[in-house]
Amino acid sequence: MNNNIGLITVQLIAALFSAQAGAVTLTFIENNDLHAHLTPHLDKVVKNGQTVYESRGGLARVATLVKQIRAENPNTVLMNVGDTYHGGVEALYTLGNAVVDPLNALGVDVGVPGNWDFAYGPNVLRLRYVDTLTTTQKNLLQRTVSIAIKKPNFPNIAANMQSTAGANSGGLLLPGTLTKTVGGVKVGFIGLTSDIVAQMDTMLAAGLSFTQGEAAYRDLVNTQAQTLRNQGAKLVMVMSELGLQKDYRLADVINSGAVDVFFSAHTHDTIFAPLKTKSGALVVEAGHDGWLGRMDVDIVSGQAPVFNWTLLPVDSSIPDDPAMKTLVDAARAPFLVANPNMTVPMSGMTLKLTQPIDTVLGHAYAPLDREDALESTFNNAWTDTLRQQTGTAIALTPGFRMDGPTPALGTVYEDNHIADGALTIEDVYRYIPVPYTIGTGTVQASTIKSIIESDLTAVYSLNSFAQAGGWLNGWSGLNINVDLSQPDGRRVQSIRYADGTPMADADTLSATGCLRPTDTADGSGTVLCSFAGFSNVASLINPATGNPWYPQELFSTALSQGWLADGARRNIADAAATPAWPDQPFVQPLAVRVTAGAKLSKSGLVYNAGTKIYTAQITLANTGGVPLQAPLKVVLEGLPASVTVVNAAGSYYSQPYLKLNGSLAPGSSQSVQVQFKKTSGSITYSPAAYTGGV
Amino acid sequence: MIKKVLAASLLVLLSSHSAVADTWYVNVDTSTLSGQSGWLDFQFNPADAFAPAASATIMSFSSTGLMQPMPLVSGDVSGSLDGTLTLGNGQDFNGWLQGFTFGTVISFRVDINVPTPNASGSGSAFSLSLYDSSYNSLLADPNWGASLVINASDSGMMNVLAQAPSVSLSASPVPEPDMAASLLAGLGLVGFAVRRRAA
Repeated sequence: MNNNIGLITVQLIAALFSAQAGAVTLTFIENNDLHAHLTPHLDKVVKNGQTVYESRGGLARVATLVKQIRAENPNTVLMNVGDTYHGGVEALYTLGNAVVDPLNALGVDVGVPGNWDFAYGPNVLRLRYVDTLTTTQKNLLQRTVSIAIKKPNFPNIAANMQSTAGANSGGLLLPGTLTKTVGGVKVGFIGLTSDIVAQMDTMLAAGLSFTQGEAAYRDLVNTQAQTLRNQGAKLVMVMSELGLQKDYRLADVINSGAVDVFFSAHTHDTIFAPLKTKSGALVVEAGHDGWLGRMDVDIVSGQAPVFNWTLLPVDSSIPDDPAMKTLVDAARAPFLVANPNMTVPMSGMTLKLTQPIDTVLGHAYAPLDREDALESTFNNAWTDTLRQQTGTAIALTPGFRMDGPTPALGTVYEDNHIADGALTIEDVYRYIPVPYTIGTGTVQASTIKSIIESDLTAVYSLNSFAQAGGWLNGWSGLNINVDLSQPDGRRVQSIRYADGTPMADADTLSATGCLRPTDTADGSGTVLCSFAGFSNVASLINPATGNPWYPQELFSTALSQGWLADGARRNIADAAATPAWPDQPFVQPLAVRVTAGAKLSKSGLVYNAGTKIYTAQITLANTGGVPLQAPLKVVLEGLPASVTVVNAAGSYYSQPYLKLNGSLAPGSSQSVQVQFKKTSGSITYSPAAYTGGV
Repeated sequence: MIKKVLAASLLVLLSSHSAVADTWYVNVDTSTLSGQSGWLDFQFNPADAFAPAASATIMSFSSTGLMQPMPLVSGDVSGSLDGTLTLGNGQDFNGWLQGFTFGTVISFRVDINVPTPNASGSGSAFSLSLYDSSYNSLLADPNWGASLVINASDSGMMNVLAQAPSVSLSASPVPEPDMAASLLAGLGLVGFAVRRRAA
């Protein structure tokens, strides 16, 4: 009893002291891009400079971490940002319902939908997210869906999604903002959902429009942030599915002090140190479901808040939370019976699940993943498999980021496990969680070139708002030479066929690709893998079912019969040799080495006997015909360890860099001074120009 | 035609200060340092081993100050400051550090030669720094810590990268009034010679 009184006294004194000092720490947890991954799975991560496979993710581990953090600090907000209800087999066959009960038990405070959360169609979207539906509206919508749609028990916000139909036309479909008082501090949240829904399929965006373009987003965020500040918000947080590149740009152009932190999602970037921006806002992203982000904010009255960001790995060191594991097991139980006997519950779908999802279908003898923005082993294996099946000249597959990295048989990984290369039904759906079907068509070579060029823009454009956030499409049958340092529309250098013959614009090619449910597939279609310009597009029929052939079916057959192609080939070459993850600090390449149209020169060195600093000047001249686009930096490559750059603006791939100002027009040049200190040896280095990036 | 030649000649004279001349006449106003002890630091260092072979030759050094004995010499250096001092770029660091009691002015001529230019992108920089006895920079461009920096690029192009306000620089000796008259006469002769060739 005495002990209890003592403890209470100490707590009261601590609380009083804290109140007197006006000090409080708030904790914001970012759980982004769950992709419906209920259980742990292998992932590729970088540890001590090495890329290794680790068991990552799983909501039972996430629940343990969240409970630990809340126990440490009751003033905690859990945010669920981005793709949540889509990405796994359990989700596809329940239209996302399988995720809802476990996620609701996590105690999420606020959420923002991701682009894939629109994938079950506009009616499911409204049934899941809109809290203001009348009973009549709900009943009408539910009649169009064959299963009852479960709803999250937390508010979801999206300030950039307008309704274009019905009584609410012109208004927001979901609330745009939320305020919440935590630890006595009022916090404002602005939600930004994906703005590429119509690009995925116009049907998915039925009755909706999305804010587009940098200026519109700048004004939107400025206005909403000011409104929240006027309402007394001490902190303003943006939760965004626009992706890191757009968010980083946006944070640069909004009003100074408008926003405190952008919690980004969509692009799966693992941001270990917050990105600083011109407005003062920090930008962070917590990878995907293998990580949790934690932002502690120390608030002391009369002082600027102090932000501390940590990325927490959701790995095997985190024990399962028993209650959450029970919920996850319950959600998965129907999928682990001998014959789940399920059909995707969407109109016209014939894709069925007739075996438990942990059934091993076959083995990978080479690594499979989608971990490289330009060309990935899975996309290579898959498109080669498509061509083997159809005999077309080329094949293409969408540039999804979704995967479940599979080490080759015999690979030693975490805790000295030896991979057996096994791929289960569950893995198949992690690679292809969408119910599209396979189709063939014909296309002119010039169209293919345009498709690749536009795709390169969507992945590598220096205009962040021209990026879509995905990877390059996968290709088979083509050898593609690109130069990623070139501007939009000029990156494709040459394309040859698999036999080495140059591709001519007038060539007509046969192609295998994918068909969305709304695409014409009777032989008169003109769209393949969402790209227009094809002819004679038709569904490929699965001889086993007599129905349009689903990629999950063909993938499963190829695995079980042992003829899934090996994806280790490399057929896309970048003249700029742009490093990809894991060599790049970001998953999405953000800066590209300039390889043509530029000359770098360096002056001799001048030594100051007092400061012991060596000074030189590096000059970048644009010798090409197109501008070198800002931001431009000069990276000092090959510098010995005994030499340091005193005035470096930062480091890139562990090499120091200097910043230039603005873009560089053809024929012009710009110089930057560099200062060295050395402990021994010569000062040797090669300056390299980079365009784009942070 | 004569007008064009004259115009071109004047243009060369007027523009030679900035870039292409390989001979420079340097004058440093050290009147604010008069009587102070310190150092003169002449250097000619390449960017790296790929820079084309080059040299900076200092001659006609004069001052109202006093040179101390035993200069500190490093690298590819020959001669002496009271005669002809040649700094090559054969080493990473090539310098002549001269103990000095400053007077009111320093002047000298420096010839910078790049006999075999290349396209390496690497230049060599001639520099003059002034220090006090504790090696604190004096009369320096703050970005470089030196009073004068002239870079000879890989192609032999000369660029003045730093020039402190106390340093005056020209591509020819400062002309006396009678020399200016001779110069104009010389230009006239050039024009006459060209006219004769054209005829």
